[in-house]
Amino acid sequence: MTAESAPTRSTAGVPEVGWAVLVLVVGAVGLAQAYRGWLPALVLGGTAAAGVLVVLAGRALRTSTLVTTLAALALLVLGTTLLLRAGDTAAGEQPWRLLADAVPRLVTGPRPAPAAPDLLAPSVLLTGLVSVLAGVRLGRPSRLRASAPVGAAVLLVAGAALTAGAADPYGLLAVVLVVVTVLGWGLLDRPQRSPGAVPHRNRELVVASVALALVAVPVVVGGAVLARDDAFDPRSVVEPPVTDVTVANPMPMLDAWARDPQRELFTVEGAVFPLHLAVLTEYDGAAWAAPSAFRPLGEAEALLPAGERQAEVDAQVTVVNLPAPWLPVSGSPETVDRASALVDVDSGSLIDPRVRSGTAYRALGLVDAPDEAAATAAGLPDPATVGGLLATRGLPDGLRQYALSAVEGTAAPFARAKAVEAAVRGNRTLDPTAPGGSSYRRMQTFLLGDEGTPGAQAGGSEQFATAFAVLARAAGLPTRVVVGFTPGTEDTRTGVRTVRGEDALAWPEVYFTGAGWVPFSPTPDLADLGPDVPDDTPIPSAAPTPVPEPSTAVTVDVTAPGAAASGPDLTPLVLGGGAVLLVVAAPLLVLGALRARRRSAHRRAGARGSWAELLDVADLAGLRAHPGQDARELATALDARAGDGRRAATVVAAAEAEAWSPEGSSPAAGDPWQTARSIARAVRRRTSAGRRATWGVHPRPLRAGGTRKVPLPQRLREPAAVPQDDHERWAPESRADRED
Amino acid sequence: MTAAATSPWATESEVAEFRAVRERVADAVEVAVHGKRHVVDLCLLAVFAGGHVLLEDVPGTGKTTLARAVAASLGGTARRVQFTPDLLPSDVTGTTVFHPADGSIRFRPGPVFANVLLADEVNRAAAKTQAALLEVMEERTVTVDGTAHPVPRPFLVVATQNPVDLDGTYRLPEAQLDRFLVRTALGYPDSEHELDVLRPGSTAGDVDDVPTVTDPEEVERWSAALARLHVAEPILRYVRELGAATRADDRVRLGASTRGLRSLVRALQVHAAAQGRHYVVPSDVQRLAEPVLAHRMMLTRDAALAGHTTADVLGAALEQVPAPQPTAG
Repeated sequence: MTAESAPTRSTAGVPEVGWAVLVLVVGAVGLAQAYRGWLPALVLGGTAAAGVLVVLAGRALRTSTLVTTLAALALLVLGTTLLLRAGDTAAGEQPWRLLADAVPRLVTGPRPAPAAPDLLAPSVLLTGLVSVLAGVRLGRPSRLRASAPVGAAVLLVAGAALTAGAADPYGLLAVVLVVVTVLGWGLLDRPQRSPGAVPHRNRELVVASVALALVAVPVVVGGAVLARDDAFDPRSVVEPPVTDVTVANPMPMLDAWARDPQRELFTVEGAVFPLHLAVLTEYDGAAWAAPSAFRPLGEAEALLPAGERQAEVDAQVTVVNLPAPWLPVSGSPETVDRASALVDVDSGSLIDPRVRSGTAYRALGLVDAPDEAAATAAGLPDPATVGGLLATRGLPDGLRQYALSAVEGTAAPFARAKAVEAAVRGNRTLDPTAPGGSSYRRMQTFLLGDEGTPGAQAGGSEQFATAFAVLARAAGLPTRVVVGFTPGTEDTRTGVRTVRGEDALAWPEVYFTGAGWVPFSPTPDLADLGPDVPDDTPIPSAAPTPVPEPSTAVTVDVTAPGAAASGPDLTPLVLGGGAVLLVVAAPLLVLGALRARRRSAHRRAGARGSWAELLDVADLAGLRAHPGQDARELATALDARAGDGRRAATVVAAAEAEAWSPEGSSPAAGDPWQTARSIARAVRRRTSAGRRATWGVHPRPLRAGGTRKVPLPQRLREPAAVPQDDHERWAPESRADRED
Repeated sequence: MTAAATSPWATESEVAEFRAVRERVADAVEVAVHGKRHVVDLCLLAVFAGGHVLLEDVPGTGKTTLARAVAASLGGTARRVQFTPDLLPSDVTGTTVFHPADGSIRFRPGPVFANVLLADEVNRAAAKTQAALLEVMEERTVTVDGTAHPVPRPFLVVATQNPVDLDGTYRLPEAQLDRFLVRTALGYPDSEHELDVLRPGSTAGDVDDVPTVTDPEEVERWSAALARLHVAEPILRYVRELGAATRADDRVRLGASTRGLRSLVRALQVHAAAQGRHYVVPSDVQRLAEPVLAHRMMLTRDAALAGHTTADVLGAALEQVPAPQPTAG
């Protein structure tokens, strides 16, 4: 076999494998941000490492690349299948069908997604594929290793797409990926040329540019597009599947809980906020109807937009004795760590058909929390857009007249709502033993009945809330009724609040443009749930007027994207920018310090140090053509680049005399160090702008330092033993001819 | 030479003195051999390193002139033997002859007893004649009837091979090729020098005009002195790794031998001194690797048929084996 036809089996070294695994793990961590908890990061990070290692292990065992790749893919498919089978939805379904279902479930599901095995499966499959392909490419002879960074960028972008940019909001992972990639390229790239091969510098530049673009463009574009507030979200083009679920209206349970006030319903940890159990919007004059159109948590838009100022309420709830399938949550649920949870987007009611006594979950809810200024100045949405929230079909005239008289003289929506609240509360009494019901007839008795009539002027929170809703709708206010709970009784030792039957109640909420849903408290003797407006605060009749600051502080993290009063919050930008600067600047500072230390050592080492400095210059300028290039040849190349005489040759001569003459040193003409620095400056002036910019911190001289040895290619390594005597092999043909 | 060296290594002043002597010899040879300074340098390298030269070239390029000019400049004797298939070993080495006048048997030296032996078309002689030359080249003695007769010192064999007309030739065995310190080719002179040779009245080829600028004893002294020239450990390792690389190349059936590498080190000493240095540098190795090592290596049949040469193999090894750099640490 001739040398040219001999196969060159290239292998990746430990540093290179470690670098590739690190790069992939960074990408996998980015993708894992689409899931809740640390376990997905562990699983995806492990998968990212395992794919590469399995392929390289197969190569180490001298198995063909095809077989190794197929084996790794088979392992990946097996693992994915097991994950899909472990999911809740696995019964009787084929794995491919489960996988096909898992992707839309992941896209339309809660964000971040619960760490359910079947929801993890698509990401494990993607990560595994990327890792295996990177492993296959890793051993190929190539100047630049682009497969691992490109794969990591794919994972990072996938994570950003699943979270609309929230996976890496400040771009830290992206910066880490770019830094690790560039450091790897700088420290690990080694020329692997066959003997006699001519270096293709232009080709390498093209490959480097393309590879860098493949990594940087998705990262930068992804960061720019996905991390914005109005980021593209694939969920916006997916209509989450709607499930019709018939569930019982929990309103009648209020009576039962009122009669058993000490019954423990559930416990909750987190911010002190009222909790919604069910939000009722449909009223037909006889009763409230529970919502029935549920879908997985996701990005589906509600009928009415949320308020401009919202509170994030993170709560850990443990169910004790609640009517299934309702799940208490504060405000509109944003994320729930139960894959089987469903939500009615318009009302924010949350259910889970699998809820049992003892079920624990963590839910993040967004509660509209307008300040009184915003609430009192707020307007009303277009009636055409509010659906059934104004429905008063069949409303008796008596109730309509009562509503109109209650709001007479008020023009501002909030003032009307407060007037209705006052009218409903009136002098009526809260009486849990009063007859129940929400019908118009019951409302007529409750509001207009004479003293002595059963149920007249007295009722439970159901009657107060319903009466408010009926009158407010008649007054043109979009209203709904919430069945829920006050925050409960806190155990000061554990911080856990226990919610009992006595904490259950119903209250109405009115929707105002910009303020969102504002709760009202028509029920006497109960805490005011609405915005805390002091009694002496004038409520505008038509135009908004300034109002004092709230007297109570908000105890939870409040997001206010549209808050004009406080201006944009720059803290994340400052923190993110600082972190990015730190991540970028720290490696540069370290590299700069190492290079300076190296230069200082060269300065102290006489003529030999001067030549070592020029070797660094040759490395930086790309003048080293092959390992066998000797000092004089390099000096010629340096002088040619510097373009000002044969000065490098004098440094070489001095260094050679110092290094290899028997006396160990020889007086050199001039100052070799000054000559070397002068050549370095001249060469730097004649290099590209990009290389000049990184001249002082480029890691290549650090990598080339030390022994500067390059391993021999396979076919130039020493044989294991001297060839044995072999007549055919050793006898020259001419001699054999002579013997004939 | 000025004084007996007290240093274990050849000193700068010794080297400077040698350089002047060598320059004189080279200039003298160039009186008859025009435009071939690099070949003259290699021949003188062999003279001062105690080796022999194999010239591979077509007839009429000045091989004989070169050998005679070298001999003339050194002030020694030069003989020429035209090797033919019927040439006997005794025709080269000499033989014992009965003298009827006094009834004694005396040794009659052959042409090998000269300072410079030109073995013309050495590959035309039979194996045993070549073998006789082999012994003289290595041992520098001729053994006839059990008596060893030393050849004069210095002793330089300049053998020639005609690479064109190979009918009826016997390829030199590897063992004998290994005895030659350098192999090179004269080649045709460039146009300027060829015109100079053609011009009437030119001294080119006129060996009689070559001045004698030294003597064999001085050459022997310098040969011994240059054996003390310093070769640093990294250079020796570089030479060794280069040899190992040639042995491990897939294209090679026989790589550089240890004797070949030893010869290279010897040649490096003389070459460094000729450059005015009392130490060896890696570029010396790269300069001399091919003339000293290439003819000692053999390619595989496939590699030879594919058009590779031992020079290619050496070139690849020189590119791949890292050259030592004169850096600190």
